[in-house]
Amino acid sequence: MKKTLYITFLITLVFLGCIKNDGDNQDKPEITLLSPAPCDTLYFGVPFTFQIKISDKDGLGNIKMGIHHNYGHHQHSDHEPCSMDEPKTAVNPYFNEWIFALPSEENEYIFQTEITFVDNGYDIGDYHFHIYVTDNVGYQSFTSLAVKLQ
Amino acid sequence: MKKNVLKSIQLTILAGVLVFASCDKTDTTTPPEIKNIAATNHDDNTTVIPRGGTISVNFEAVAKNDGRLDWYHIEIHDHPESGLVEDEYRIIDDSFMDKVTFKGLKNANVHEHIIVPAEANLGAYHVVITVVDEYGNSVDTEDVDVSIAIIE
Repeated sequence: MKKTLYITFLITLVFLGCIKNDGDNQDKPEITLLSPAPCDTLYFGVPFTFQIKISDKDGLGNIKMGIHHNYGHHQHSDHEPCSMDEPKTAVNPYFNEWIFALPSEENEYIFQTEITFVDNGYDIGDYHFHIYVTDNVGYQSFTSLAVKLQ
Repeated sequence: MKKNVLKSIQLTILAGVLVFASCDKTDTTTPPEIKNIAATNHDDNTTVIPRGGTISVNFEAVAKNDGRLDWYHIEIHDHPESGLVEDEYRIIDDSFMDKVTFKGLKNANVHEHIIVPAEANLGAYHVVITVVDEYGNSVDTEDVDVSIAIIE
């Protein structure tokens, strides 16, 4: 009886030891946008706080944010619907990107930075952020955020 | 009694060898996966883009083995009457190496904006994405119908 139990235990060990993570999506970081709120109006030359809550069981990697125009009202999957300006052709649209390292030992973290869009005669109107967050083991989440620039 | 102890030790060693031998299989050969591929006019989400317009190419790449993603390639070619590859007009035929939001990751979301040159041929184009992992395994969308049309 003891012997049977022992052998069963060993066989279980062999199989448990071989269960592998197949690299699918369950390990991506979780993102909660805090500021700006979807559809907020931001102003060239006026600083604002960019704030985002990030959770991940494996610790954090980095964050990349980019902003580009959306005068044609295209969608990137998870935008909140906003009241949009009339579609128009871009003449001198604003574009920028930022990359920051995140603390690798944190499982829950509020990332915050102050951003100012330089006031240099850029087109005003509908824009959106692309936000990529990577965890400490290489899983990435993507979200986007629609805003208006004035 | 002594015999039993000896047997237990033997069994434990055997199990240990089994665990390590059966699990020491680092997967270096399964190619990555390309998901949710889309190519659209950046300004209106249609698949018709004028010369000088911007194509938005989006996809997600997932490393399916024990390695990480390494780089990707985007090619957008037309279909010349001759049918010859050397006669194709290519809006883009570029590799994207060392991208901080791609290289070394297990999965990555890609959004590229590509300007259509003013001299691009008009008509239908095929969008082909290739993704390569750190072990050199690659996958492409050559057989996937992702098409756009370029107009005046």
